[in-house]
Amino acid sequence: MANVLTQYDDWLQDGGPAALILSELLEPVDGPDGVYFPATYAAAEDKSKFAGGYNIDVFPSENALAAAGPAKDARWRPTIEQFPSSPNVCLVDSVGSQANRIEPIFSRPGFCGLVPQVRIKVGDKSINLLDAGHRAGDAVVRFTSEGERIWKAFQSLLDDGNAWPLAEIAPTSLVFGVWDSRGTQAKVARAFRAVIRARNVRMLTRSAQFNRATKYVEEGVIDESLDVGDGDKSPLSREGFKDNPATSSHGGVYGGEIRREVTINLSAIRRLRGAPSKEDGKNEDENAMKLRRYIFGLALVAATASDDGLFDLREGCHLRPKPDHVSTWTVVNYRKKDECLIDLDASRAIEYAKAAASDFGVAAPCETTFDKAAAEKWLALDKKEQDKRRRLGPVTKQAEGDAGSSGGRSSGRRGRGARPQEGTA
Amino acid sequence: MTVDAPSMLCVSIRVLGSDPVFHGCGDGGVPEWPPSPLRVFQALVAAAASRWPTSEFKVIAAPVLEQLAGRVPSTIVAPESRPGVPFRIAVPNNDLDVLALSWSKGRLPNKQPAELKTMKTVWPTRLLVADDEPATIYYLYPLANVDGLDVSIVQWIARSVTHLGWGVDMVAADASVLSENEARLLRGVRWRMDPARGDRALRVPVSGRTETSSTLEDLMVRHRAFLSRVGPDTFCDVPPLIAFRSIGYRPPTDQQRREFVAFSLLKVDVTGPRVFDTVTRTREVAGMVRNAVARLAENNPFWADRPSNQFIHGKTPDGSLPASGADSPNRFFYLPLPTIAKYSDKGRRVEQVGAIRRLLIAAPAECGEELAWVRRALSGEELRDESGNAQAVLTILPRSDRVLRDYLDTAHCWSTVTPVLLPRHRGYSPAEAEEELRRAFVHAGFAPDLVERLELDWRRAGFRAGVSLASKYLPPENLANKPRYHVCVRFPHAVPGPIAVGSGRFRGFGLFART
Repeated sequence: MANVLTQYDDWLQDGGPAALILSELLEPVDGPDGVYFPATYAAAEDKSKFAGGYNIDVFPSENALAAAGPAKDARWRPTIEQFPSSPNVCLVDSVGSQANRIEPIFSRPGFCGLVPQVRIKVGDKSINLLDAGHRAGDAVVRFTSEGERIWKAFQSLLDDGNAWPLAEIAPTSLVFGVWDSRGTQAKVARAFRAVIRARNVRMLTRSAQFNRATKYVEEGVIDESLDVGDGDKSPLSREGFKDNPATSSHGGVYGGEIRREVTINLSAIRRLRGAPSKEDGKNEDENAMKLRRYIFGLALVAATASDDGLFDLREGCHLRPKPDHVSTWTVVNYRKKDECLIDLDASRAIEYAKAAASDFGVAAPCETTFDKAAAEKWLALDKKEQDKRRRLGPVTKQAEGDAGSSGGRSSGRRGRGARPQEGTA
Repeated sequence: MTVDAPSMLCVSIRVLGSDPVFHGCGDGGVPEWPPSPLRVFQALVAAAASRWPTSEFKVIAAPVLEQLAGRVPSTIVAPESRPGVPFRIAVPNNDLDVLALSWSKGRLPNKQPAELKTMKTVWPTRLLVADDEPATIYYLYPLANVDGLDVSIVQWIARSVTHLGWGVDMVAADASVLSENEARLLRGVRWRMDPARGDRALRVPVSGRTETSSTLEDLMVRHRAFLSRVGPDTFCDVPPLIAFRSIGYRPPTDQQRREFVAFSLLKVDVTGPRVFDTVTRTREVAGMVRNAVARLAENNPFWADRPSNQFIHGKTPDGSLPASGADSPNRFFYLPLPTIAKYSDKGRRVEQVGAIRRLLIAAPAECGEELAWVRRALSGEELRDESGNAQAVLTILPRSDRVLRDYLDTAHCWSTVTPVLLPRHRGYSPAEAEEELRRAFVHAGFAPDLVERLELDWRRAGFRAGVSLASKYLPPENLANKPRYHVCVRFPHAVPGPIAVGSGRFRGFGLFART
């Protein structure tokens, strides 16, 4: 057990490598030539820069650019339509989207014992904190008793750099990053990043035709006088009483190399610190290592977990790991050449994570209730008043008219960090 | 100091990932590349703050950071980059409490979670590196400028940096001392400090020793203000960071920029264009223009304190000898412009170099005042030959002129309309000629890194219809014995004109037009 727990300690101490990168090749479930649908994005504010659709950056050769003629203006960018056979990179699933898919696995069987399960009861609904979009900084948990613990945990991070309290409640916030934008303003950079991109794809378009069930106007079912206007201006079109063609819309991409890349930033994990030794009598370094092992274990599980939701990205984009391809880990060193690892698989990851979680101590599942009265009082305040009180303490305490009591801080208290005390700079 | 002795402090930032991307933006939300030294400094401060608690930061890190703030990297070596396509993503607002309140009352909320979003623009910069190459940016500080700096502390701080740019831009950073040789071997585009390039300025930190407030202090003040911006009585905006300055950095693809003034040549009676044969009269036209400028500058107050011998005549300050362009780059270029006629011949597009009908006077970009004077002074002025007879009148030519575009627009490929006169005659071997030709491009202001990558063709016959054999052209008398070639050049990136290369480049020779 001790060996399992300490096997990666060299990486989690000063002098360790910078990062680990896991690279795995994927393909559509219907084979390497299958068509798949990447994420689509809204147009840029200047539509001439990006009219919306797939995010594909194209890198034509200088010969291809020269053959295309001079650029019309400085804003011109090559597109896949203009250079269909030039090298390109297509964003299939973004960093944020991958994080939102991966984090909830820690609520599922096989993984839920690794992290505290905090459920927030809201009327008839029950929301797991792991599903809350802003993690420990999410507004939904602020108006609960756990919100008070979280507020103190963020404040501890700001004051002393002590990440232990936050790891006790919401450790995945330390893995995927969090910003307490509604409270203390504490920010924690992500230590884990996953993204899926495809290189050198070919883009397709598709067309479709909606055929109405019957000829409503022609057969006298609907009065002709209502058939006015075109497109959205026509009431019949809006309600599905007219044929509707949709031509040359996004038809997916095919070919290329789909790669999922996961980065675990070891430097970020090494920056995690526990309580100063004088606070709890324990050795400060010992606390730090327990914490780092725990967070690193969660990151390894996040990287190696195999779950339906991780690869079934959206309709038309169901991927799988490429058969016969072995995923590789790269150890990114500061000075030495990068090294390759091939034996860090899902089973080793879960074994390590369990040992680290046991050593750290994972709290039992808890359920807390959304405090309707506190929320109503808070939302009744105008924004200026809300902004005034935001950093004074947990909102639930303020709702009790108890701002500045246990857990509260005066606004003059300095945050933790690089900034020297006033008057000593 | 030998080239192997330690001479540079190198702060390296490796962008992690096989498709490295950077999301940091500068003013106006435009992608910033390379990342500014100020951005790197802020990352170092944040990293040091997370590594050492307040008291240790003050003792260990702050003095080192303050020292570093007063230094500016002389060179930034960065991967090539291309701006990606900007797009927008929907970022959820953190107000699930509003919905939760409705749910807790058993009511349907007015808005669904999917509607509580804000659009955010993402505009990445993609880094172009080979698959097996790390995408690393190197900031090189001359060691003499960082004397006494504890490099081991800088290294500890650098290795604590985890991100540069946005939160998704993970990096691995380091610091070390390099020799000149080691620095030379670093791969990437070399952005060299060029204070004259205001259009390519990057922000750099400042120290308390040289400025009223140091960047480090300003960051600390700002951080305190951010955490305590909500006061008991009022909400205080966080002040912007103001303790920094901006310095220009120039990549090798940016040759020394030139500005220009263009003129039409008209007959003395202004009844039509005045035409000069390119092959035989280029030197004469350039000479007449120079003499006109000299004539107008004589006793002119504008030139009272300016080096007119150097600027106008291209001579040493005492006027006794011709000055080399490499030694005195701030001077006028007198460039007679042959018209390039374009027409179709049996369905084939033809471009033919014709006679001189226009004139360009160019100078380095920082010589705007001198060019403005020339524009005012020469407009309507006569060109006179050696006998004093008027040969032409000059009128201002608008920049939109079609022929000007052949000499000024951005292009990859260029070829000569007048031959290049090589700086030295070293023999007739192709290797020697190529070496002299590349030297000529360096003298013309192109960075050595860029010149190494030029694709060059040269020969005595021209590469364009309408040009004569190089030997037929009459060069300035003092350059008559220089080897002459017509040249076709392909740049790795599109570059703007005007381009004039070789010994006669200030007098109309070695003039290129885009292909």
